Amino acid sequence: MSSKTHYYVEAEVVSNIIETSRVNTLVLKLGQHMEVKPGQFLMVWRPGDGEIPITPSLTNGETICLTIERVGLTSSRLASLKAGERVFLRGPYGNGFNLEYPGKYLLVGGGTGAASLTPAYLKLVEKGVQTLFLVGGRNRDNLVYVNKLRELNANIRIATDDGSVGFHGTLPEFFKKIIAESFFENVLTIGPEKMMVKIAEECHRNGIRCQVSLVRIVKCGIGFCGSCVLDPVGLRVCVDGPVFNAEEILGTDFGAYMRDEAGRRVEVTL
Amino acid sequence: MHPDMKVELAGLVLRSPIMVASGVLGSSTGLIKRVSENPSVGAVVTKTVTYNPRNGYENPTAIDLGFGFLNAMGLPNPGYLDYKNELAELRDKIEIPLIVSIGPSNSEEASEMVKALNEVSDGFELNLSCPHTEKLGLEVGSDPEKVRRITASARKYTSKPLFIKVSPNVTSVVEIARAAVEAGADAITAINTLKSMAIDVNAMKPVLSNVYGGLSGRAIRPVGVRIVYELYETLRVPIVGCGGIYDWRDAVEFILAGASAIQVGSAIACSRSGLNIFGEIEKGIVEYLVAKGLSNIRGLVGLAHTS
Repeated sequence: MSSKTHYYVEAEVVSNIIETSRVNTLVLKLGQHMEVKPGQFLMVWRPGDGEIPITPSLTNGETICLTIERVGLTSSRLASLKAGERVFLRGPYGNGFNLEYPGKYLLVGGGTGAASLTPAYLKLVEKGVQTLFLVGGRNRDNLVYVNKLRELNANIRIATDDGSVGFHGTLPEFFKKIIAESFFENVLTIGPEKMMVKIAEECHRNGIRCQVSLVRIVKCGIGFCGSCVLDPVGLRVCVDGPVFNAEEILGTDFGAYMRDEAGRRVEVTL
Repeated sequence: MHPDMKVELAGLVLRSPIMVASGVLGSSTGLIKRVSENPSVGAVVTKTVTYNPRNGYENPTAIDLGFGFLNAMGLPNPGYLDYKNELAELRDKIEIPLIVSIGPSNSEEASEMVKALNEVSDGFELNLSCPHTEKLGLEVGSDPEKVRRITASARKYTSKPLFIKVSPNVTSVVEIARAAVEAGADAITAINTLKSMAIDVNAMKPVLSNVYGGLSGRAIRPVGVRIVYELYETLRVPIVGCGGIYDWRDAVEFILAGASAIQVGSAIACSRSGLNIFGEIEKGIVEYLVAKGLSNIRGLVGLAHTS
């Protein structure tokens, strides 16, 4: 972390790729080298439009891809940027995935989660680890990063809620079927929290080591404001996470509660 | 012999002089409980709660400058009525004093909040010093008359310890603190953050969405030490030192200046190990006391004053 700068790194949009009706990927050229470990996140700022946490979908030090779903005002504006426009990045923050555990890895990405898991996938390939990548969405038009993953020769399987492509059913249902067929020592998952909690519970029942990456309202990003805390354990998503061993957070706010802008405890809906 | 680290502060007995400062760790009961279980922590001050709920400002709300943090969170909080339930739950779970920080904008709000929260707190800290919120904090805390009225209003509804957290962003901190003490404050917490800002040279824009924020961390320690020293010269109430305390040496410096206890805020940020800082500070102070042949921490308070 010592190499981390104490100012924003400027980045220019090289291209904006439409993934789905709600999701775009920005390809950014960085003004200076930035090392981001798989699963770590950046705070992405556009003056006047706000700043949000994003886990990059590809990174090589000089170029970085951010796959963004239009959720609120800031994400919608970022997702609409054109080539030549600029954003400002601080970070990287958080711990990232631990990819040192032995055994095979099953990656489970719901929605934009598939994109955010891609750097972990590439790292595992580089280490010669065997992987299988499950990608899920509501229907064929909601799948993110499938073409990119095919381009990267990933071993991928697809599930859609409506069966328009791949397995007909939710990702947790598909996941159950897959792990019944062959054993994986490790699971990495990013996606809607209700989905992740089901995956984590299934892993718990089957003795699989599961790492989940959580999303919360991150304000300071550096561990003091308390906006992203998981109760009752008091873990902060921005510095203690965003990646957690599922065993550590099952039975907490994970999958159930989060804090809103004012710090009120509210239910997780997605 | 292990030196005695216990301190008595405005009627509260703390097992250690190290407190958690307001504004860090948010309103999460889980996080406060986690920190309170650390044997080196003497008391916890909650995040400031206001009369009405506040969402706080848009991001960016905080940045790490290396030598300190700049923030304008905008006092996000669920409002005192909502927070009361969480506090009640929390107070049953922790064994050390829980000091509730409140940010009233006028006397009426101060009275209402203290009345409502009195049963769920072990004391109050009045935040009359936040440098980046309209009609709150510094806007009331820079006027001795307003400080006097608000302090008196809070005093009327609680017999529990009442701390006033003062701002360095005034010409005479002593004048403000004296007004608070005359109106019934039991102790003064010094200091809150310094009003400041940062501009990104590539974006050519202020970084904080609120433009202005408060500087905390390493950079402000000498300012805090100076103000505690000044207050100790003129006041007869305990002072709680705060501002850029990262290690035992920083803590001892504040205590020598006149602080009876100290608060740690910014130094908690950054990592999982951030919460180990309390143990490290306490260990360092104990070793220092042993080396200096002192049997308790109380003997150290204000020793830097010549009189």
